[in-house]
Amino acid sequence: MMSGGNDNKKPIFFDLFCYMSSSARGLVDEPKLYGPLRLLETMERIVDVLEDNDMSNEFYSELKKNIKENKYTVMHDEEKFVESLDEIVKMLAKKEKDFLDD
Amino acid sequence: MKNVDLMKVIKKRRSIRDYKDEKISEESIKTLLEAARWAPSGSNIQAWRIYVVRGEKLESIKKFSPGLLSDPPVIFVLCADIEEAQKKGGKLSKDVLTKMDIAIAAQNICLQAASMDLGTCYIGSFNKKATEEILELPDNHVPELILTLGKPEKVPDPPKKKSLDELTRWVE
Repeated sequence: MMSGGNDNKKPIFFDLFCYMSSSARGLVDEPKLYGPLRLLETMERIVDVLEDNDMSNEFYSELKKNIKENKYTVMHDEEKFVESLDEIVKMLAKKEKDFLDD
Repeated sequence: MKNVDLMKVIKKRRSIRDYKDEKISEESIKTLLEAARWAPSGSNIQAWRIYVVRGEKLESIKKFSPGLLSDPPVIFVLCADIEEAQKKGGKLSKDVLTKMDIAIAAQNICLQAASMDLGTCYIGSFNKKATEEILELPDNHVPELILTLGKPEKVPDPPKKKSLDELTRWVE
């Protein structure tokens, strides 16, 4: 036994594990661009968990908004989708720089 | 119904990924199921089975369906009855035609829904094993497709479509 926790209480990441394992299985047979889409969706869901546990802030809300607004471009505009991925990485890199500067 | 009316509905239909938090009446759902019932099928076998899923079971299936990113109040899980398909139509029906029949029945639902100002979306990215487990499907019912259903919150612009020249060849 690993812990004395209540086995029937759903851990905060359980739903995410369901999503990620189903995504992993699905991606074996799905289009290549769905990989980045599933990763973005996972980020969005992690922000949901942060929000549910009062651990989010303005930066993560902005990150989630950015993902929500752009993720579906994968369905009809590959170029725009890739641009939005670059934007998200840039946003995180800027934040990383802020951490270094602090 | 005039030809132009049907074409209007065909062009109006979109893949809806943003739904209002509103219930869909059983009467509306039954109308959509009736539209599916009238779909053609190979050798008229009609080996599709449709599960109407709402509430907690829907939420559970959603967790294992990466392609289901919206919050629809209803989903249809369209299954192939592989036992009936095999028995009445052989391997061709079981492996190929029943899947086509399901797609046709699904399109009937989508067009009927569009004519009623309801939104739908085809979902192919879902985990079959998890769906079978959650819905406690019998071994002969294989889930092939999920359709979401709800009142659209946002209707997307029409996507780019290939020209008829790209898609067709006229042969005499």
